[in-house]
Amino acid sequence: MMYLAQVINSTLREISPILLVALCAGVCSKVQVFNIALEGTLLTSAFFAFLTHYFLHNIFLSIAVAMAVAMCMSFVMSFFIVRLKGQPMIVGMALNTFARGFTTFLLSVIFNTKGAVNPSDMKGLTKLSLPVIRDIPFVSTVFSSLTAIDYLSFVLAVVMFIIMYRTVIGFRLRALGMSANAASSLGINVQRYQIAAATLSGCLIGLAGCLLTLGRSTMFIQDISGARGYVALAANNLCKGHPLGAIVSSALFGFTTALAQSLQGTAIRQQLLQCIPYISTIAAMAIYNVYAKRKAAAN
Amino acid sequence: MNSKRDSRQALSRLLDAVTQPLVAVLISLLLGAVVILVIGKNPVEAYGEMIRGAFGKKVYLMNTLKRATPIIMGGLAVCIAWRSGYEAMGGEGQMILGAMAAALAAYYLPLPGPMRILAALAAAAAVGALYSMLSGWLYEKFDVTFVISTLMLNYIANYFAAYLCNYPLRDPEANVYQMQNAQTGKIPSFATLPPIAKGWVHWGFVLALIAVILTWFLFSKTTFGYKSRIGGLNARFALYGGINPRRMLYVVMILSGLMAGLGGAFEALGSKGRYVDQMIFSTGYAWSGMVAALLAGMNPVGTAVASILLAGLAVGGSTMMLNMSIPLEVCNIIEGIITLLMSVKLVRIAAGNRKARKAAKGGEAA
Repeated sequence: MMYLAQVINSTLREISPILLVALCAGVCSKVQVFNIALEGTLLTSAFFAFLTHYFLHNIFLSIAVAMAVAMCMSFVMSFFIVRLKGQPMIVGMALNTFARGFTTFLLSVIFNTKGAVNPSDMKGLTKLSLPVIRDIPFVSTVFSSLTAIDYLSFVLAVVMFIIMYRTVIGFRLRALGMSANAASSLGINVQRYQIAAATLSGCLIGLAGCLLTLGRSTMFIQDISGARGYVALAANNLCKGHPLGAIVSSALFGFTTALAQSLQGTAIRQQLLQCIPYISTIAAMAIYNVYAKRKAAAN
Repeated sequence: MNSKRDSRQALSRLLDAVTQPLVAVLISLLLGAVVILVIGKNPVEAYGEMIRGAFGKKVYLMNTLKRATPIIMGGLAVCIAWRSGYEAMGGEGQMILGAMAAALAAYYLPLPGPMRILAALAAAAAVGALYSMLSGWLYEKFDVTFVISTLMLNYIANYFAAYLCNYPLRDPEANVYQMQNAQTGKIPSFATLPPIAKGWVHWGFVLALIAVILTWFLFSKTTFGYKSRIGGLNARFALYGGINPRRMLYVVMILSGLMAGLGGAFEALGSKGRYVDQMIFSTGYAWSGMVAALLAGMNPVGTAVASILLAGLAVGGSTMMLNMSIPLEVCNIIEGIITLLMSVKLVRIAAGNRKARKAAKGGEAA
């Protein structure tokens, strides 16, 4: 029973970064900006969250810097894709290569290491302990050591749903994604909207970056993003860019990651366990597509 | 007359093809210089070190060519797949499994010398092709896009290979107390790809150049280039023209995976003499190959040239790191910026602006 609670707890903690990135991916896909730079953006913002906190010891400033950095990266990405008509895949891979080089470069210049930085005196995001919940045995474990951003990510999913489906701006964004020509005939400056949407939604990745380096533990490791950006891309693909659907698809990936972690120390070797989230990503997409095809054929 | 015009056209085409990469490389070197300045080093000196360390001596040049070998093969894999419209990025995974297959075959198979090398190469090609087919199959049967399937398969391949060389197939002679990456057993020297001559690069480089020529031949001298492109870009039109797009998809994936798999084999048999954990993943050979293919506009011969330059960037970068203590990752930054600049048609944008201005001027005059 305790074990189950722990698995659910680590699932919850794995969901939030993926969910936040998937929400950004959702906005980008709705406005037809194919964003594969998510991975590099996540890595860079995670690094800068860590760096700011290391030097200034201010959690709010760290969050702000991480969000700003993520928005800068997203702006460059969308500017190159939308304005300069760059090939999206290549722009994304370029930024990911850059991010990997840049963070490792700064890591070795500032901390004189290429592996991990793990300062012992750093205090990351505060782990919330909710008044009623902490007294109920099973539930308290489920919700233990979650940070405000973890809770916020679910709230943000709802907020994004409201923005995208219940406001004029959301309507415009979805409209220009469906038909750029029709939208521009309505007097919408399509390119400006696309860049603005992609840039602003980048701040969600900044929050996810904070979770990676200041959440569960306060450390930075080379490549700490660990393909979460790509997984989020897949999660977004599964829910077709719907913010509430993103909760479900992120939960799927969060659960497989948590499962892989909880099986550590058993007979199955760690390297094989690490494959589980990636295999289940492919499997989930394949199963979903077959299901969608069947459904379409039935109609 | 005609031939003169032809040659002039060819020249202008070549200029067009070369201008953008040159501009991109120059801008990124300048930005790299800024980064080097910021950490308080002399960029001119640093780049001097870099060039010297990459091409300055025969030993350095051979190191560059050695590093270029898997990059060329990764680049060819990208050329073949992307020219056909399949934007697959699975070269890394295919290279990892190819390297592993070659290292295992060359270590365990009880065959005499040259036969063992051939068997190892065949195993690597087969494994690479199969792994590449897997992503083709996922795309064709289940509509899983190449971006996601290949990226995921890369991670799966790396972890799987890490498992193999850490546990079941770990080097039996490995010293458990030594801190080092896990590895498979050392391939006997008669089963490795030997150097062409004493102090030269190994034969894998020559084989890579042959692969370049074959790919060039395939694309420019056979109907394959046309067929594969049609198959990837417009399946219905291809069907109409009597091309089976499904078969083309698999042929393209097999060829592309075969190249990447062989690239891994060259590295394992020629350079490392075994599979070492992370040997492909951490060096980013496949990504450099993609950048090379991109710089060359998916032209096989150009890809080889660009691969050698990118390999020089990395090899020279490590000399720069040793002699001037500038982190090697400057090279990744430069490579990233080059790629970013290559993603847009810089020349065409400039030309388009000029044309637009001209047109506007002409309009006013009229």
